[in-house]
Amino acid sequence: MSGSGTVYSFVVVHHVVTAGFPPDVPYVVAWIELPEQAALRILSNVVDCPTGDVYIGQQVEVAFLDVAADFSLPVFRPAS
Amino acid sequence: MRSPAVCISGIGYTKFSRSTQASLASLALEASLNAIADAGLRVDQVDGLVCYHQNDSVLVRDVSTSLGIKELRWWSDFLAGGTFNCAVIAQAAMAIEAGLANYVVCYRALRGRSGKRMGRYRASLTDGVHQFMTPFGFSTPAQIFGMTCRRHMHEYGTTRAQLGYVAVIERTHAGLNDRAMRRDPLTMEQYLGGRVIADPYTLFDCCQETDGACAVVLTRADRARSAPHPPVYVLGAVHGGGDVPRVPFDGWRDLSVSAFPRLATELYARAGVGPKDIDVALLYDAFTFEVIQQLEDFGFCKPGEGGPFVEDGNIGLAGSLPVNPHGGLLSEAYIHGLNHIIEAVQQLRIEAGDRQVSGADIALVTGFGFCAGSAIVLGGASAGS
Repeated sequence: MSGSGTVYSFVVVHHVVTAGFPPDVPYVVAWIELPEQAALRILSNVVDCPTGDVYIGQQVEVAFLDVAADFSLPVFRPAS
Repeated sequence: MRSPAVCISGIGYTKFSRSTQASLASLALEASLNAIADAGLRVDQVDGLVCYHQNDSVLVRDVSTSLGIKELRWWSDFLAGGTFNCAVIAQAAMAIEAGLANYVVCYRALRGRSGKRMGRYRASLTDGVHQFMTPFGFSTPAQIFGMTCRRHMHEYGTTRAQLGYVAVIERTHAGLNDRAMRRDPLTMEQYLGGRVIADPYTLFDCCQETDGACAVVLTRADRARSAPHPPVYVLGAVHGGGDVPRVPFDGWRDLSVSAFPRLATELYARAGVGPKDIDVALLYDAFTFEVIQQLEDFGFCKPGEGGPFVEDGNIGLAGSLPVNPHGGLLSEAYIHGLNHIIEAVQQLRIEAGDRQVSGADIALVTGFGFCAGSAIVLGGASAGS
């Protein structure tokens, strides 16, 4: 897979009730549409981007957040 | 329109609060006994019992025992949320029509604020689809359903102020309803300044976690002729999903359209009515945007026009389509939508007091889960004549 994607929709979470791995609050959870197939989307965080700058249609690319020695999460950042 | 076979003959509810001292069983029993009394029945006449729950409630076997039901002939517990408020009515109506039971009580009891709160699943709930959600800090309904609102805003230019009209108008309605939890007026300025929960949703876009219970009694129409209150007829019901009937909508093609357009067509055909016949709508409003979406999905306006429809004042008590005269889940209470059915019945009995919709005779009630849902059309006096 190419590792690239497009933001299809997103929310900016301010009120946290279940802590995930996003280190900062607020954080963005997005449906990222992948170019490999129509309507193929992955749920993930958009990182390395001010939350106010995330938008639908934004081009993003995968990065891997190392949560533990044996566990990494696919997250997305603005395409370079 | 065919002669309706089944009706709602009794309703009951408890006080709605955020800090009940009552147990779940007490809440379920109080609402059920109130509904049975409202229907003019004795407990020993009840032979059907059904509830829906999210592993957060008291189940039928306990309620049946505590009520002292003598002969339970049909029962069911559904593990389901707000998509099931109308589905339990449909299930009860089917059981009655099939002759499996004569008098069915449907209830929903929860301690949604003081007990088990939705979305607070902690890391232990990582099975199934949650394994793809929890690591990203994604679990609550506001977060999940906020995705659909954002997409609609993008597609159609739906605005925060239009969401605000839903919250403000429903709060105005709640001011006329003694049992509503939030009755103080809400201004647009207050709405727009609301604390952010999951942008685009703020505090006032979200319904309120509630402790309480509601119950409804259904029976065959001919058995309700001597009931204390006028019967409210079940004219049609629908309960289903889209091609991906699962939260959080993975694989759903277009997040600006829910499963309801297809289900609405089926419902209207079954009930023999159309959008223009609906006098009052109880639209599932766990969040403000859901009202806008369902106004479109049920054909009250065109796709994309739900925001302007609300902004133009159509959903107020004196509007072209009064919506949620009790204040809705947003301002009355969140009993997972069974309180919508209570309100529809009071409206069609013409017993809603200051918030009565003039001439209310046909009501639409919905239970919305975006990718799945249930809905019913209820009829008042003219449906029985």
